[in-house]
Amino acid sequence: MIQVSELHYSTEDGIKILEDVHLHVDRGESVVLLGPPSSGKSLLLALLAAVIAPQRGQILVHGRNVARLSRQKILELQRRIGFYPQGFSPLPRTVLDNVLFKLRVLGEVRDQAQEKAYVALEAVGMIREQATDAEDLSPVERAKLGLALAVCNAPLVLLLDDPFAGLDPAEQEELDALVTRFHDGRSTIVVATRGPLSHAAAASRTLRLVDGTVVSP
Amino acid sequence: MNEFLFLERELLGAIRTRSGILFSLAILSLFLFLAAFASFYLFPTAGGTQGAMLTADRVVVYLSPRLSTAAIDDLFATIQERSDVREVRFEFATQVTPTSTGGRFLVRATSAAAARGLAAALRAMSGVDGAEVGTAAIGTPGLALSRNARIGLLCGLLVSACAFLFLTRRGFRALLHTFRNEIRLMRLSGVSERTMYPPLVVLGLLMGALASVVLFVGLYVFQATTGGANPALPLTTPRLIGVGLLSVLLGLLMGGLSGLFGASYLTARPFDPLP
Repeated sequence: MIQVSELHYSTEDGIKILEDVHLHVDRGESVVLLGPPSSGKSLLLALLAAVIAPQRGQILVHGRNVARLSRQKILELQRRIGFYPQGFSPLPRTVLDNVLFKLRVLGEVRDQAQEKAYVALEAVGMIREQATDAEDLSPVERAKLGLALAVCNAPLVLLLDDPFAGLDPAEQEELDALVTRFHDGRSTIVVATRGPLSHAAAASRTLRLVDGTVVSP
Repeated sequence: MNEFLFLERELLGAIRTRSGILFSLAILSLFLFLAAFASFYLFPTAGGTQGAMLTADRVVVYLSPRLSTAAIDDLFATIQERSDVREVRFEFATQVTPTSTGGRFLVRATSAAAARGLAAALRAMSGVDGAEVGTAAIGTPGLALSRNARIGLLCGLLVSACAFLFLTRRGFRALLHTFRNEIRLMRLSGVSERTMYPPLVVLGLLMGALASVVLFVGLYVFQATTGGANPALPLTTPRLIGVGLLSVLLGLLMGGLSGLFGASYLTARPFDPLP
């Protein structure tokens, strides 16, 4: 499902962030990518999500080489990827409207979008907060809303960039249990985190990003 | 179409005080631009067609350049003594136009009815090259643009166009800044630029349309209050519609351009999907 080989990435100043990264994630597999801050986890996820174009190396998602895809194909691929960005901040509107916004701009008609939004909010346990202003949510609720946004379009790949940041251990466990629930054997999930690993996450395959290279712990 | 209408509504809903003020000022400057543009076509130039700008009780008498000062004095006295003349004024050739060699009399008849006969009589006088009767209704001001006024108008056109583009750019910047999280979300979700650009261009077009409609209405009000009663102003309905439609097209073009100008700001760094 996700195949990365010989991936390199440097900044404009020539600082190497990713160096010869090799990664293989099977269809339906859940992987945790561990690494200290600024180790390149976010960059790797952004590359997998085709948000940033790779400089060198190969990234295959769904068997498609990201570097060789046309702009249109990249957009199609991005629509099949649920991405939770690091430091996610919700839109200044209600919880339901946050999810509706994403679905509507992706071309869903109102009724269809509403149906999908309810399903996504139900999945993350936020249906009762649907009318709450997203800016009034607690950190864990915000993270759940971010998850709802990531999963609302039924993605084949879920890329979560440090969703546990700023949460206490109990909240981390709660959120991790939620992520584990999404791992239904069909969706491929990659979670980047600086650790420590929760009980649920520990059950997933764990990879470490050290000095710009992915290694098994 | 569905996402376009949704995004357009969301974009309009994201207009806050700052962007609202900037857009209002932009519409005002576009209106001024269009008004200056329409003025070019609606108001005649002062000078060669000066007679057309005079009221109907006035006659311009063009003198031969060969006349001596004494002959001009005699002619002045003769005209002034006529019973159908209320007032005579002399203008030197250099006052009229530097290239002209003969001076002229500006004669005011006792009435508009007397002016035509007076002009015919004056044309017949020795040393007179021609006489022109005014056409504007008495009591209405003659509106004509001098050369300097036209240059001023041209400068006004440029300044208002620059002000419009500057203000729309700032307005779009403020609006998109408010909308940045939505833009980032769209970019992360695989929404194409082709979906994001049209609502911004349409917003520019709406501004252009608003300024054009205000101008169009303004032109009609102007015609109703001034132009209709003033034959010196060629504000006939077909002409007004012609100039009005031309202004609307120009307004829409400027609005569309400003929209594109604003949309180009989407490529700025703050709207990167992952800042």
